[in-house]
Amino acid sequence: MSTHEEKERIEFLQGTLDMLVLRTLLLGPAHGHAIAHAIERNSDDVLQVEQGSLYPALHRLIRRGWIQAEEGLSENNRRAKFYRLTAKGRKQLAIENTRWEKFAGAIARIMRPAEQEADL
Amino acid sequence: MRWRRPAEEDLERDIADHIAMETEDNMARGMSPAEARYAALRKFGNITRVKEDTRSVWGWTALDTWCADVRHALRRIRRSPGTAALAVLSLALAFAPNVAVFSVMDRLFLTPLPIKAPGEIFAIQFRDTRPNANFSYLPVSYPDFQDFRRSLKSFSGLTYQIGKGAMVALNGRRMIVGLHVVSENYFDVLGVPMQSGPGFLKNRPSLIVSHSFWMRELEGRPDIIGRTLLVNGQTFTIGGVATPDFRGTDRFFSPDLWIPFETLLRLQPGFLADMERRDFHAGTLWARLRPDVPPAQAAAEVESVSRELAERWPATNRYLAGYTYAPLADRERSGITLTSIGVFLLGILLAVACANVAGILLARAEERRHETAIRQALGASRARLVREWMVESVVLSSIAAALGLAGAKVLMNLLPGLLPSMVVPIHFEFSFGPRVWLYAASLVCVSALCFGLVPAWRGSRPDLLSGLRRDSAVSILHVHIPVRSLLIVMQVAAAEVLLFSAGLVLDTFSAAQRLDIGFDPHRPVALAVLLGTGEDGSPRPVDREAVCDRLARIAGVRRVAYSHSVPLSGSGAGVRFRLEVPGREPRQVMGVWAGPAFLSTLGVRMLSGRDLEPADRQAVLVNATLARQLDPAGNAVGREIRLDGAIRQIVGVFQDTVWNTVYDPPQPRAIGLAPARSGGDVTFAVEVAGNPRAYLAALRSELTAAQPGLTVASSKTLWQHYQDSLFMERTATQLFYALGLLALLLTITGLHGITTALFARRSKEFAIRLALGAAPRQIMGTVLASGLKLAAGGLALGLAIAVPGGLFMASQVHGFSAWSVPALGLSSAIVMVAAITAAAQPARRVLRIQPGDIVRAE
Repeated sequence: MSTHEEKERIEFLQGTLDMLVLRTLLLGPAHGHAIAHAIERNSDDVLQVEQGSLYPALHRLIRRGWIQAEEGLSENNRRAKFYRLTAKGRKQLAIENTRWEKFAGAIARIMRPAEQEADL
Repeated sequence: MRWRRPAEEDLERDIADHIAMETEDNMARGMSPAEARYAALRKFGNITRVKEDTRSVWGWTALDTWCADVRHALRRIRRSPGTAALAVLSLALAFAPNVAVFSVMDRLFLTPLPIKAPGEIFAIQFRDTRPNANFSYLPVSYPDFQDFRRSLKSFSGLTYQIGKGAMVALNGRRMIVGLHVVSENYFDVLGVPMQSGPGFLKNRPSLIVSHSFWMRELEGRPDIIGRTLLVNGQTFTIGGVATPDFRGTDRFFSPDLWIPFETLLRLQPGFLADMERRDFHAGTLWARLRPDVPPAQAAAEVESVSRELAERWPATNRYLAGYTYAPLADRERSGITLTSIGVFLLGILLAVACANVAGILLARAEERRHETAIRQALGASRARLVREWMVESVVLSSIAAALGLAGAKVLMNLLPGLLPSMVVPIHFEFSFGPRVWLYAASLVCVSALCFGLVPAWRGSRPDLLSGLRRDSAVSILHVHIPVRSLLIVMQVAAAEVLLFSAGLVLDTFSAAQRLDIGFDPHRPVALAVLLGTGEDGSPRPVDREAVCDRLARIAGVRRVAYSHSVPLSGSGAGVRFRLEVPGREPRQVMGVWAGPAFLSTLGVRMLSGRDLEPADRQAVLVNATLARQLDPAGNAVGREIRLDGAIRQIVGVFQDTVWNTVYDPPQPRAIGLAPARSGGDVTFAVEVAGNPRAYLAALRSELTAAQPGLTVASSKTLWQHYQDSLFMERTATQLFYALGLLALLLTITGLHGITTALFARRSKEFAIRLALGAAPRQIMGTVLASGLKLAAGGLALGLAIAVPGGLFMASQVHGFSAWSVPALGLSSAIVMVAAITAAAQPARRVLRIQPGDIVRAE
């Protein structure tokens, strides 16, 4: 087993990938490949998705009822599976969004206390 | 796993599409096809892992490995069918009686009555306040019930029930059924709903049928409400069907019909005459306490009302004090105690079976050491191996449980055939309720843990070095002798505990058989009951003289007698006479209406005076206890007493006899000559030359011929009649011996197995000793001794548990034999003989040892 390699890989924070997938699907249904690319592109290629890890995440979201899968045709006319955000998923995204903002804000306050003091 | 294939294919395609798209993108960026595909795969990551991760999202992986384990276990079981069959059989033999006995106990003791708020239900009885009263406790009579019902304010409702037998005529058939006559508010007070129908009807005679009767006799037809039923010749409308779980308030007697008092009193003058008597103490008074009244306050009110009754009706009630008790709660407690004892004893049998299976599996662990070592070498963890063993144990146990349940069903179908024949037949319907299923499931789990854990632990022990060598000589040294020896000792101990208990129960039973019952059950007498009801069920007196004449003409019959009640018939104890003696308080004594020479026919000794004769219209017999009370000087014969208002002369004193059960303490009793044409059922006793059993058929046919239209309810010999009264004791003895012998059978197989293993381990040593000139007899002795040592250890342990256990039981159960030399001797002898038999077969193998072969094998 290649435990060493796994440790070196930069991983998403727990649950972040799910949130990003939901956010991406807010723009409309997309297939797996498109989702992976959208995340990479929209983060200016900072976030490198190991594309395979997208699939367990997608199936987890289906199980929770936040997205649903349907058959469709891709841009170059290939048959592909499209994932669409459900109403429940839309609500969940709002929750995740608020939670993320709180979390990021809290981290930021801890990481930059000196700047804040300097501002005073 | 066909049902998940679409999802698998779907994922596969999804991933393939993804990689294809990425490859196309890469090619668009100018890569060569091979390069593009490689880059796409790299970017995607480990496909197998992605699939695994996704599957674990589906939640099927856990299920998958469990399924694989079960399949693996089944494969392993198939590979050694012999040992698996032995293990399953051992367990099934223990499961079947466990489930059968538990389901009977569940039905009798654990099933709560479907009564609303049973904690509010109390019973009311009288206590006789005189220190030397003939009956300390008396049921409330019907007039007393009505007074209580009018006066008591602490209860929201009072209801009264009395058990009776009745003849039902249905579709040209006649049948005797048990019924409860109840006050019209019975089902309301108890809070028992109807399954269908409105209940008792107001404007016409109506009754409620039990669910069992409805299914059995009325074919469960839904349109039965409003139809009529002929009971004792009178027409009743069916007003309701009770729910299946309501079988009356008695544990053993399940009435088939409920009829309101008001109706029966109007229709049956004889019943009315009994019920109008304030001193007719029969029946049960149930009362529902108001939720806001404390029980102590209610008890005080019952007492004060009974004092008012005593003032108003001094002749009957002067010494009677009412009191309340909660029979349902008591019953629940005693039910749980009885069931716990039963489960404990059955658990011993199960433990023996588990020890057996553990021994078998330990031997199997030995056979698998090579396989286990290989798997460990390949990286299988111990937890994984233990889990496989445990799954195999549960699978074995489940197969055994399925067999055991089937066996229990067979045993329970046999049960009704074992019940003694009675005038009012008992209908036992057993089904496996939810508690029984739960019990069976817990048996599976507990037994799998008991017999599976040790072999699992031992069988998964990391032991690569010797395990990988295919060296039989080494592996035999590893046979788990100490653990298996311990198991055998425990098995023998358990078998001894059960057999010793069986001995004690047998002792208790024979003590009951030695009790002086006052008559001689060995006399060549045949009994037959002729019911005093006609074809339509209406009362019809039996022409006793005509019957006697006819029976006397049967060849071989020496004497014919009759009585309205016989000892140990279980159904009521005759009538109650009101006894008046000048200068004393009137009181009640048990009485019987009988024919001439009835007591002599049963072999009851006359202590003084003579038996009744046909002309004795004004004569009466009293038993020794009553004679002593009437005349302590011992000159009761010749005295005159007033019974139910009529003057009677005592012509004889007979020895005390039991009447209800063999344990009855002596009670004062009087026997008068039955009035010329009195109604009711009559038991005829025929004294014959030779075996009375041979006369039963003739007795039945002559009775039917003498009184066409009347029903012969039961016919048996006096000895059968006596034995039937000891049914419970005999059944308990048989049950205990069956359990004990079953345990012993399992122990023998275990003991045989371990002696064989011991022999195998030392066979090389034996061969060398034989080659050096040792006598085979000597070596046989060694093998035999190793088996017997274990048996003796088990015996000692068993006795150390059984003897204090017996003392404890004797302190809990009245009349239980605490200690008995025959029980001790018999059980020990059976165990030792079994042990010798089990060890002898392997010991004899010594004779077959060829020293040359074994030594050469090295």
